[in-house]
Amino acid sequence: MMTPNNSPSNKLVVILAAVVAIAGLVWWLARSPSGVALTVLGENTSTLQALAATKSDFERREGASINCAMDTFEVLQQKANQDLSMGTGLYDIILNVNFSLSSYVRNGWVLTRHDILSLAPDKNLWAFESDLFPNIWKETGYYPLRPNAEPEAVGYPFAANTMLLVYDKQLFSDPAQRASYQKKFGRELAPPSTWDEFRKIAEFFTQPDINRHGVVLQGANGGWLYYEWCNFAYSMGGGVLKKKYGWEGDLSTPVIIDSPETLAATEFYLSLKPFNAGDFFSTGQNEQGKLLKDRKGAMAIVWSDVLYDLIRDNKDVFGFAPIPGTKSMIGGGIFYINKKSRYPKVAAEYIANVLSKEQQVKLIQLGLCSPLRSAYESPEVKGIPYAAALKTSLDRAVYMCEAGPDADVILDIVTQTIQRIWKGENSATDCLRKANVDLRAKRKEIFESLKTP
Amino acid sequence: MAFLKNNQSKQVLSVLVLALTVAALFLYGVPVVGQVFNGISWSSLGDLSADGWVVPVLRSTLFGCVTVVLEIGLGFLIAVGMLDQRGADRTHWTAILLLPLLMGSTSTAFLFKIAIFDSSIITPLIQERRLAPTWTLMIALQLWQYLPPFAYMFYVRLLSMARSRVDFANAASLSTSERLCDFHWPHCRSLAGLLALFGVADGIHEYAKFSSVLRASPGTSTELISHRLQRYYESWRLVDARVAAENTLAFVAITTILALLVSLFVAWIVCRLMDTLVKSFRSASAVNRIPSIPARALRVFLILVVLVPVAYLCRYLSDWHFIDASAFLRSALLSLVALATTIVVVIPFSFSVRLLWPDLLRRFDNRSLPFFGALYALHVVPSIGIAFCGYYWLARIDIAARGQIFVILIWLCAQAIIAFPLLASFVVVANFRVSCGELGFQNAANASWLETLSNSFLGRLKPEYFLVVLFGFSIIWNESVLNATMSTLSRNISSIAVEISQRVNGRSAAYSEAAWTIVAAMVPIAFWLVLWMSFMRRSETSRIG
Repeated sequence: MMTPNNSPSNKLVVILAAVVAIAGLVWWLARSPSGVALTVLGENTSTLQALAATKSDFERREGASINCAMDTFEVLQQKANQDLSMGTGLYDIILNVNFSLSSYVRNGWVLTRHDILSLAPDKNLWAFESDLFPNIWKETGYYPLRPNAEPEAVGYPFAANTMLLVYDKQLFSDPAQRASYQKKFGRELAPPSTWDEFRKIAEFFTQPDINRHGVVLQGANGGWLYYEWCNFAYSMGGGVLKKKYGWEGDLSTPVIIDSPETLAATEFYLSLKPFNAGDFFSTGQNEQGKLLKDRKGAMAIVWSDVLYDLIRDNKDVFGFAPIPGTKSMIGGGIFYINKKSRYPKVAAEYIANVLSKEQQVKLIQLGLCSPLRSAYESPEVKGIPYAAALKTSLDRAVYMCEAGPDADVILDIVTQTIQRIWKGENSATDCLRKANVDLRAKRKEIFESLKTP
Repeated sequence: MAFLKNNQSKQVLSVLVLALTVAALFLYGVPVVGQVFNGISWSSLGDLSADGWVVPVLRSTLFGCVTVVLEIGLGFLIAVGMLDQRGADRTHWTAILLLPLLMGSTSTAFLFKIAIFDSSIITPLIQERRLAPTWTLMIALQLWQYLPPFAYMFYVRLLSMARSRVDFANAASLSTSERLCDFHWPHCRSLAGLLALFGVADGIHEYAKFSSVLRASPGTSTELISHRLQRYYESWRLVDARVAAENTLAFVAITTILALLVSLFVAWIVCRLMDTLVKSFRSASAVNRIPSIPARALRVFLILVVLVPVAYLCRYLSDWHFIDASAFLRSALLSLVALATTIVVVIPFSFSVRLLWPDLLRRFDNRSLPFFGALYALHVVPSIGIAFCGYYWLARIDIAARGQIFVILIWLCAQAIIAFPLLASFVVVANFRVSCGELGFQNAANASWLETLSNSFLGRLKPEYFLVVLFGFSIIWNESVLNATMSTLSRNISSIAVEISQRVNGRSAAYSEAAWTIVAAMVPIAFWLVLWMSFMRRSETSRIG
């Protein structure tokens, strides 16, 4: 029986109201902000968090709003790639690592330094150029803009990252531990400056019965193992490819992954297995940090852009030093300005503002690893526990990470290879030889496809 | 109006609904269909190396098959064990067993990641990634996520058995094995077939748990096909993002075809195995001598199995950290809009196909299998494939010029497509309860399309449809692959699953924040679950009397 409340016209009204409400909701969700609004896309680390925390001055001065979109590394790559390749112009500035240089420049997706200077020609804005770490800038922000041309600056570094040795300061300064170490090795316990010392200390602090190990290594895929292993390989005279910069290289670049030096470095890395804390294969940066905070590992090699988070609640727990040896890794990337940005001039001015010394000193105190040398001389920065070790590392930093179109493939092959060696599937010699063969084949595929229009 | 009451026009309207749905699905999926004959993917079939495609496909298939056999077999037997023969117990709170499925894979993965990480017993067992302990662990995690919900669905199905049959079984003092063979299993067979199909697909396309707990990789022999697809795309995106997407779609097409064939076969095998097993119970008198566990104790035990791991989150709730509230709200609202879109398509579609083929779709058997197979084919397309189809269409719309609204609309379509197969299947199975005789009566009474839908379906099947709504919200709310991929094109698409994933796996991972985000994500799920339990309580009251 039809009651007034169930009549078809009432139902129709309800349905129509629901449709209007949903349409309105979708419109509200899809609306774009008004006014000058810059969107900065980057990885969710202390770098972008620091930028987000200091943007208000620029916003007030320029009357613009800056939205910092922070994502995981993988999502950042997807977002950046899709936005740039589809020309949607969603992100005005993209903070990405140097292995994006090749793809972004080849495809003409981003403005170069020349374009940026044309947009904001005031030389005072760019005075910081002479203050950048030259090795960092060359590695993260230079690329040949035409085939066979000399490399030119594409953009400016948003950070100068590297990997540092982090150690449990309380353990290292414990009198009983120091006495025991002195007795066993005949020398004072101190952060290791050579790899041999590194292994000795790792062994010394390994006591499984109290769930403590000497080292926390990162064996997870997704880049963690690769970057860490590169520290060992390149520091000991080996590596993957023989070249000067990560972004250079072609089919003729020598592959040295199975060289005697690389083999020695890999076997050294494997020799740390008994001293390693946690589940190697699932330890990435987060897990490494947690194990350190839980005091389960005495030492680790850690990315510099997470040190700020590490010391936030653990100010006096950790000490910092450059990694053993005489070389450190260059990491980081540059500010890429999207060619489809609606506000390229504002984007250029924002970058110049961020890279001023005054801003850089503020940003270092919020977790940024600054690419400006003089920023490390300021008293506020000198008080940061890891600043000295960071500066030393940046001064001696060299290419260790790949940044060409073959970067992902190399990362993949190295990760698989080292994981197999760690598992004991095969000897290091055989695995590295196979890696050489696989690398050559995959690089050939990539570089030949690049030649094909 | 007279025209609309005509039975012929009812058929025409049903055909129209069906045609529009199929056309929309086909149009959206053109990029995948178009890549089926891409030579690259087929030529990779011969690559048996660890870095090839065959090994991850085999691994995923084996994982899906092993887990589904356990999920169906154990799920059914547990459900039987949960039955109180007197029917006197209040059991609506067993709906909590749905929680692992409703939580979603990302939250489940985080739960066990932190528990295993903190465990000094499990970590040493798996740290070398030896075959037995590693795969036993992952099978156990998959079972935790699917076994309790499957057991619950079998249990609800058993509760819906006609009262007369239950009374007969009690009056005739039928033994355990006789009840199993002649009542319980035949009543659950259709559901078992359907759950087997979806269980295999979810096993084959498993991603989050392996990624979070094991950091699945080819080097540790733990990589599944979903990881391989992503790795392929990432390897080639630096070379040419467009070609990378096209070739990834080609591999999506081939893995979809393989997954479809395998799971149809496995679902059939599982049902046959269960037929044989149940028949063997009849002749095995030992079955009747197995001491029965009190039904209530079993239900309580299962609920504890579900809740204890969830309670482990409390360890990370000491610090208050939460994501941006507006992002949370936007995610919830978007999910509701996507849910509404999906339901608006699913219910008319399911109703229309029943009107068109009343006899074919009155039970789950060999005749209706092609229909479910076609629906299921959509389910086995990986989410990344559906996302890339969205990119394909957005590239043709030129959203830079036309605006963000199209991104949202494509996102809504994609979410509807992901949820559609499972929800439509469940609704069609629920519609089995409407007999052909009743449909004939509605025709004889010249009831309109709307009246038939309202009187015979919506009115009667409210609890079942509500369960579908609950699943639909959970699927959309917890979906991460599509959200992570499509959110590349719009600042306005927030996703709770992506937010959780960032806090679990990102470089600024914050476990405390992830824990709070998961708790918050469970609030709407808990809300729907409470509503479902109230439905069940009302039907229980009428059952117990």
